[in-house]
Amino acid sequence: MFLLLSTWAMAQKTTVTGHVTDEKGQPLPGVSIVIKSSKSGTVTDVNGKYTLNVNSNDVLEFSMIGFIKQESPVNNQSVINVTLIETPEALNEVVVVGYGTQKRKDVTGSISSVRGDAFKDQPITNPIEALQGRVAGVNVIENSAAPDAVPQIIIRGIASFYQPNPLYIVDGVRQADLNNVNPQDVVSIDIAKDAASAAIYGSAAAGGVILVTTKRGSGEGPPQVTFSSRYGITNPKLVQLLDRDDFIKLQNLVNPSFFAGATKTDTLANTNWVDELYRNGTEQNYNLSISGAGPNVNYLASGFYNQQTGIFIKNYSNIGGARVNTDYKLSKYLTIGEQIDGSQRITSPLVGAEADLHNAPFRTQPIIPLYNKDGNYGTEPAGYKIAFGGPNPLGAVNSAGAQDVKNNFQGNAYADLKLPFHLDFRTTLGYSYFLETTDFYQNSYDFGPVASSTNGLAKSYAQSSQLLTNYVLTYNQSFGKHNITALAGYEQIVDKTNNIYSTMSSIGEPGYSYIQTSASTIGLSGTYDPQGLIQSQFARANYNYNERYFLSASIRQDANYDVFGPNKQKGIFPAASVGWTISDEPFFKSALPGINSFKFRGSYGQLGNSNISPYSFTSTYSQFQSATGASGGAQGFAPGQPFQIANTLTGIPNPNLHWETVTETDLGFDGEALQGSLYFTAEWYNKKTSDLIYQLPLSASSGFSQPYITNIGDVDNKGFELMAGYRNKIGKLRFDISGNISYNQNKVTKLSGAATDAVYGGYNYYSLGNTSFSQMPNEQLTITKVGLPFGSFYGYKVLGIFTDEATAQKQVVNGHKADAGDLEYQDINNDGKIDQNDRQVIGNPNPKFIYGFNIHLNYGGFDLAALFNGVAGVQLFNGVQAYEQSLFQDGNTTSQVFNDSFLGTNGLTSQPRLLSPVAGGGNALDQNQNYSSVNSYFVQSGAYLKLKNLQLGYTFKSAVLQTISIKSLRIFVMANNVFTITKYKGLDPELGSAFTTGGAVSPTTQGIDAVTNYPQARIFSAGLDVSL
Amino acid sequence: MIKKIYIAALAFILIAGCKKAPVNVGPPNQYSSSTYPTTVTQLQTVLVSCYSNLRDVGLFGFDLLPRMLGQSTHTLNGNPFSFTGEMASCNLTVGDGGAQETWNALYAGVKNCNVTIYAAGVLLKTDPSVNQSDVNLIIGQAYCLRGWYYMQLECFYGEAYMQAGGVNGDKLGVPLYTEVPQSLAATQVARSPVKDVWALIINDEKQAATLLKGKVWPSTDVARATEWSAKGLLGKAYVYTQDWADAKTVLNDVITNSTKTLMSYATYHDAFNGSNKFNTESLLELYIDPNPQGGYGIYSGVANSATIDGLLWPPTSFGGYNGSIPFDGTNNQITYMGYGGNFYIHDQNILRFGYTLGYNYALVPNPKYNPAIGPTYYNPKLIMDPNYHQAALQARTNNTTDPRLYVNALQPRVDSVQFDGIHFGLVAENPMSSTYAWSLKKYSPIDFNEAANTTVVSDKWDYYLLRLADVYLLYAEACIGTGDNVNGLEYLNKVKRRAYNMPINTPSAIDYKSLTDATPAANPVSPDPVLGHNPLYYERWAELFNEGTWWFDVCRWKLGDSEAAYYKSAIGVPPLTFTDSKSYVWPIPLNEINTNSKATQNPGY
Repeated sequence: MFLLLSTWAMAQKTTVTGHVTDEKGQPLPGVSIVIKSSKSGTVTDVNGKYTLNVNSNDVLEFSMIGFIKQESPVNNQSVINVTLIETPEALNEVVVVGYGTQKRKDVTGSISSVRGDAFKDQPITNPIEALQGRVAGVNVIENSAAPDAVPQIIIRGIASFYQPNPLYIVDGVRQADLNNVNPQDVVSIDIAKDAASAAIYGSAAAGGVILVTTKRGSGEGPPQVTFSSRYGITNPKLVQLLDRDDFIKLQNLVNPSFFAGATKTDTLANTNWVDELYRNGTEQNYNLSISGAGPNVNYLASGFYNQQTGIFIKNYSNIGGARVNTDYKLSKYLTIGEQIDGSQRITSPLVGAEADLHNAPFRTQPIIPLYNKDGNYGTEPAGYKIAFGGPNPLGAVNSAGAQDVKNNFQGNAYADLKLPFHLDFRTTLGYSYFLETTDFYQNSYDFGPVASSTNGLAKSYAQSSQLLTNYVLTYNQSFGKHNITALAGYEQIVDKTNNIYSTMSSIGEPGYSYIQTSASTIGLSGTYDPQGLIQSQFARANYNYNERYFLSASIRQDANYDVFGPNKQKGIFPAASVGWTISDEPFFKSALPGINSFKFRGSYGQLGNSNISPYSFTSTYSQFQSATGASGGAQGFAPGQPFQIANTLTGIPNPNLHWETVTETDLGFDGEALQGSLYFTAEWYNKKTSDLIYQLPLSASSGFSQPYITNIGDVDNKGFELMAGYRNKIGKLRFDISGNISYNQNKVTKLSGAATDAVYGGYNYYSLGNTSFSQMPNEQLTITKVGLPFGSFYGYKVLGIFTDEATAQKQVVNGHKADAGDLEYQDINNDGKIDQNDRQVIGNPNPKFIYGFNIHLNYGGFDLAALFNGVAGVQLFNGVQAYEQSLFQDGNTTSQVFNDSFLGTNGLTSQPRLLSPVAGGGNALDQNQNYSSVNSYFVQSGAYLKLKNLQLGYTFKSAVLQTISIKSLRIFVMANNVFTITKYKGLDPELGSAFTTGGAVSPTTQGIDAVTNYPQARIFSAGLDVSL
Repeated sequence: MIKKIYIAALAFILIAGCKKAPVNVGPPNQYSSSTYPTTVTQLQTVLVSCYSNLRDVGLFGFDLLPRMLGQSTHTLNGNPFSFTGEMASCNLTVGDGGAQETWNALYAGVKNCNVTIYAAGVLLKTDPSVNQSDVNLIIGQAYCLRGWYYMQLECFYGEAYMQAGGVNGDKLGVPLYTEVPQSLAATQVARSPVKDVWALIINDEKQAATLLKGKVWPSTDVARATEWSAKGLLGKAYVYTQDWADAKTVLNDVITNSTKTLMSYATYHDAFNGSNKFNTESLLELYIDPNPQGGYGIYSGVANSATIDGLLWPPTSFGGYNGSIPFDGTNNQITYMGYGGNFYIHDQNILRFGYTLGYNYALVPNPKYNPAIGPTYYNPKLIMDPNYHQAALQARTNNTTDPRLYVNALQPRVDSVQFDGIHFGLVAENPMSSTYAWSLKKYSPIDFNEAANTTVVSDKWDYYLLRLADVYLLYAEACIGTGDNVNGLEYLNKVKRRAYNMPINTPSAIDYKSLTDATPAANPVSPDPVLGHNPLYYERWAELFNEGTWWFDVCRWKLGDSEAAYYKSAIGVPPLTFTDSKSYVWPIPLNEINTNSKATQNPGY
């Protein structure tokens, strides 16, 4: 009543004018200005100006999509100028979808976006790394500090034995990876997570789609020049081994005969092999870009160079590259443009005998010197009974050399023609070229027990190219409140590979050139394959009514001619989605006025996975390989006669081999509240992979050792994702805080066709590929079968440590009765002995939760950014611990060993015993297989929270800089991998697939902490960004 | 003008986009299974894989003779690492790595043979004008080898040997693949009855004999199977299944018509170490080339024709050098002419060959010792007691020991070897033995050091898959089986006469007088109750020692218990026993059980 009265009392008409601008001072046309009490109003004109008749006590509401709504009371003012602030997840932000773009508010699938600004100064060379911790449902794992490491990325769980990487689309063109894309060239990355968003890419999109948009020139005026650089130190996380005195102390307990009666052991070497093989690395990066635009042209040229020295001696990787992006508007109807990108990466990889990187070189002894007195590489000192059968690791590294050069070119040109009838035709021609050459020289060597009198050189040349052409016709029209966008297209991808691999033994001079000698033998192989061909047709229609009710449907047919056989080449992948912006409904506005935007969306779609080697469906004749390899590829039939080549069929053809199909349902909502300060998204998905492809081992009696590649199973991934953020200003402090979390459950639901129903994987390797030389020889670590997630740890379940001898003696392992201090294993079948039949599932390496937090603060010239990421509900297999708490072969271990039960003067401790008492005196090593069986003692929680990146910057005031012609200058300091909160006992709980490189995901070897993993590192950097 | 250029460019882009969908693609670095082979030469390469597979690690390439048969028959004695302990105990587990390797390799051989027969069919279909007789020769060889592979499979893994009158014929043999499986279902094959397996083996060898009839290979192809290889194997199959009548006929055919003859003793003495390849006695021989093409024997990265059995059972010698300093001629400094510490000839074998002088010889000061040189392997301080040495030599010249002992073994301090391929050094006592400590000679590197030479790592000698002496003994057995003891005895004696360097066809003083006459194994030092009075058993053991056949004889004749009692012990395993209900048959390997849903296990496993 009072309100009504006062309104009445103050009802004096007056005219208000003003103009509305954005934060940069640019006029904003089309801003709606509403008088709150009357709901009448106006919009700003092209210059951002408005005029409105109001009452003096009215309150004006300024709103525009993409900006935070603002209110201003008239209070008798006649001029009201307003600056609107952009909303963070601007709903009118353009999102790149396949073959086009959409406004964020119109999107009905699950697409997350990350802006290039967010990560441009992170110490990364691969834009994938930038996604870590920033996107719900996207699990990025950086498990190595190798200078050319490629992170592993899994979107919404592992869905295949041939887990596909995401499809990378850079400026509309497919690329094999993002390894050569300069992160500083990136404007935005859009991640299509659900099947409906990805289905327009059909068979290539089962791993999700990552769409990268690179920068283009903009803004008329003089060219913009920016330069940035940073320099950092990489500090590895390493295991430290026993020094001489502790080593001898341990040997006196384990092998008392070795140093029995020795008095002058203090004269022996005390070599710290970890220090000799590892070092601090460096990372430095330089980036220069020039961009600009004119009325009919815009351009950007950029170049970068990144140099990294590895934390392992002799290891480095340097990459440099350049990009030119241009668009020309030739006429009102025709626009053409191109993006050209080239780079070269030169790497010195780890090579040499036993060069698998061992995050501590357990197979070393501190008493072996680096060099003997005669200058040769150090060997076991004489006069003791201890023997060492391995190489001198420093010698091994120094007696080999390798270089790997990767050349990458990516270019595409497009033409876009506006046609009558609201049609637009666009064609793109993309060409990419990749050439990798490698040289690997192994010198002869003599490390005492390990020697080779011959040298050898291996060289390879592998080239691949891809020619992509596509034609897309788009229709875009509105009839009243009906808005329609439709497109149809055709795409063809032609892949060619050409490679040669060569070796020569006994070359004449060291180096990377072949000089043949009489003793030389030559090995050669190579392929030229121009047959890779994918042809696709696709179409999509988007309809909305009044920008409130959305419908979208797409369909794609792919024909893949070299991966699947006749009749199975084509796959059809449909998708549909709906959306409802309920916040535009009058009832919603009145019921929940605080929520300014709220959209429900749901989608359903199918994708195909064909991430297998080409020609897997065929069976061919090739050179016969016996169980030990190439030897059986020939046979002599008389003395002095040349050998005859042996060929045979290598497998059974599977003409029925076909696509894996991913079917996914996604339900979610997006919203904003408090004038856009608070933003959030939540969604639920159910992703089912059917017709899982697997390499089924054929029966041994079939005589075929190559597996049969066939479709045998199903796997489900279900989960939900939440993202929320809050952005606002308190005085001069501006802040933006956001977080995301996702939950995923992975379960194999079908695995049929195999004689046994399980798939095993993983070893606790010391040297890759050598299953017998390890703490757990020949034992596989994981099982995959129906009802379980991919790659569950599989072994004995530990019930505890035996505290008394009598109880312990009831357990028999490998014919040996256990002792106090031994691990007590669960005897599942109660047969009184612990053996293979007592193995059970003992852990799940697939994280239930992954999450991240981002904090951005600005105060005056200062900016602070912190990026946290974490996982929860995950187990890891700490294979390294088996080396740390026991003694590996003729090598060394860590000081943890001294905490083992009953070692020396120890009583019962929390660590199982290493030595088993033998009747009649003396000890035998680990008879209960505490450290040499796969058991749950090594399965540990891998939950962690990491401060991944912390960056503090200061931007100088422009007034100071203008005197030296600099538009802006920012300096920053940064730390990467700052700290980790975890209970995990190993070096670092961030583990990807064991034994794979190049970012590949191996579904059955997740979460294995093996000594062959390249260690992780911290980086401390400082740098600057300059604009001219 | 500019616009026209751009429109032309656009048109070009459009045209560039058309590519015809290929009809049938395959990997360009391999041959297509639908069109290959197109020539007889290409078909030949498919056949080659049937032979080269014999050099698999699970066959003659590395493990079968040393680690499996050498251990399970106690030809050898040695360290029980990996699966060799199970073999020495004749007590295998289903996961036994040796049984697995051999199974895999034999079936790979069957597959390669089937592929050859299949490929021949493709060639005949696509090119009817191809030379039919050339193709027949190829198919014939494939059948001959397939029969060999199946015979090995049946003898190792079949539940029992078939006996006269088809006894045991319904027991479980091995899975039979008579053609290349073309689907997953076709790889799930149950075990056939024993009688069906033997029927296939017999049929294969018959077909091979027909297809290869009359073919004489030129000297450039001398290692190929012939009509007589097939007939010899056919005869063996008849003998192994106690079809004495058919065995007699076909084996007599081989003896009479093959033109093969037993080689002379001098040739025979040197026919197992790299010399005298493809001699008059050889019926089927695996050619081995000493050059592994830069690789490590069968672990080569390059195709070769190598094997490396000799690395596992090498002789030991006093000869050797530390740098340029010669070894001192004592047991503290010896050379292994392959890997050290794996296997040596089991001491009981020395006794079984009739060597009765014992091993307790004294070492006495060397009267020729030259202090100016100092102790070296060629100037040792101590030598074997000359009296013992003399007696040892006389045992050879007087034939009081079976001369085949010296074909098969090297006596310490009596025999010499070329330890580095150049210099001779006396054989040393093998440190693994505390008694006789002889070294193996047959199929062993006696004139080069197989381990030390890092560029050439391969055996030098060929392996006999079948030789005429075996045929003679099989013929003798068949004769005895039909009651023709006279011919039976005569053919045993022919083989024995050759070993004693006597005219083969003339009766001699060393002839067995009866089928129960004493053999050298009946010697008083360690009388063998079984082989000591069974010339048939003894001759097969002595003549074919370490050639990979004795295990089958042990199993056919059920000699497991007496063999275990005779050999008594082996290094690193419990005192030898034999489990009759289990040990005569190897287990169907775990990997087969895991990959073949129709696989069934043998009793006892």
